[in-house]
Amino acid sequence: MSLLREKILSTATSLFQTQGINSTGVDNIVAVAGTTKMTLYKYFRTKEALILEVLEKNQQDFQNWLNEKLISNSLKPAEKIQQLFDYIEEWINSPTFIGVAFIKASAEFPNEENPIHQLSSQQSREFRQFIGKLAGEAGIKDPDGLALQLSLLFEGAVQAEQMQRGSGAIKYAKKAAKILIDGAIKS
Amino acid sequence: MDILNTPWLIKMLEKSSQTPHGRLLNLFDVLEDWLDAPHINVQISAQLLAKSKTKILQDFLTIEADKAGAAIPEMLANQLYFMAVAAMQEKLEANNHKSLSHAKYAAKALIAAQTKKDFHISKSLAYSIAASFLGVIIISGSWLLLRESIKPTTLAQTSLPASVVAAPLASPEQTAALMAELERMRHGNCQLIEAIQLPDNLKGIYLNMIVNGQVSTDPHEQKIAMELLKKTRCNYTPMLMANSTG
Repeated sequence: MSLLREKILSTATSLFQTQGINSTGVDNIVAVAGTTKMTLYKYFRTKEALILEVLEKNQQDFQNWLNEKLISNSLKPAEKIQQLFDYIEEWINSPTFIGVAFIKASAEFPNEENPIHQLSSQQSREFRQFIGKLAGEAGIKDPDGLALQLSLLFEGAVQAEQMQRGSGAIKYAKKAAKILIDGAIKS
Repeated sequence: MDILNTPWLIKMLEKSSQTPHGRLLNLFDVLEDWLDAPHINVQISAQLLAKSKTKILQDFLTIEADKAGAAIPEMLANQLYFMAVAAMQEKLEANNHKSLSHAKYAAKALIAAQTKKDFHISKSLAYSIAASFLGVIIISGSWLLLRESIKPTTLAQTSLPASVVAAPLASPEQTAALMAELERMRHGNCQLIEAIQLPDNLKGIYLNMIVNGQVSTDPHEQKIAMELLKKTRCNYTPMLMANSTG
């Protein structure tokens, strides 16, 4: 990836997260990135294409970070799902956390026909499937059910946190997740 | 239609339970019931849900969370609200019939985490999730009637030391009738959604006698178990029968 393309992508990521996607114009992005509209459109055919790529990169970065955490700590299957919310809490409480892209995008583009909404929904589903996979590997009887419960807790906490930074919502979501995971492991 | 911020929803929640804890949890039942009503899905979409701008429901949930003893009521209210919206979207977009039941289950854990109340992982909760899949929704108004009808009747006895009150035994006929009813139930797929809201003493009877099949000889407990059995809904279709006996 060219440095300029990468710069546009990272600038757009930051502006979308802090100002909102709809409130961020292409003019704003090129001004902050120090480039021109022509250059932006050379790399990204439309603003929508740029948004989709931002979403994909954000989710990929998050997933890679999470995978690395789970792998590098040599956790057993049951420990992985038990640790999941610890890592999520660590991520949400970090000073650089500015929200979860697919949750914000889904709210800004509620039309089900919109490709941005569709990608957001897909990423939400994929994250849930990831949790379900961890639950399945941990031997939990209803991995999909637990994954849905945990992903709802996650989304609820993230949205509460996005409303009020430092809300502590993730702390209680983590406690609730522990209750659910412990119960599912025992059953 | 902004379903989440209508006086109708608030009224339904207000009358759904006598406790703030119950009213918070019943949000998910009421919404599921509403979404399952005929011709409703065509009037509402995930898009409309996302456009909800007013905070009537969040304000109501904040008050109830405060009454329930939540550490940070407004935050709990916001989390429950967003969980309900996400679960409704999941139901509408992915046609996931279990989403609101799972959301309720997760919400119960979240409320427990904020209020330090015990959270019991019980078969009765699993029952409620299975039941929602079958589209069986009961608003707790009917449960209130049940609760009135099975108020403990042994108040006089319990005021005396246990050592001077001989424990009465249920008659063989009463025990046999209960056992027969339990045996019949095992051949079906049965649900008692209201089990979630049972007080601990009734929940214990429900779990021990109905779920685990450990029939007590106490006539009063047997009477309560029979009352609960009457409220339990069973499906005896062959497919479910096969699943339940596997």
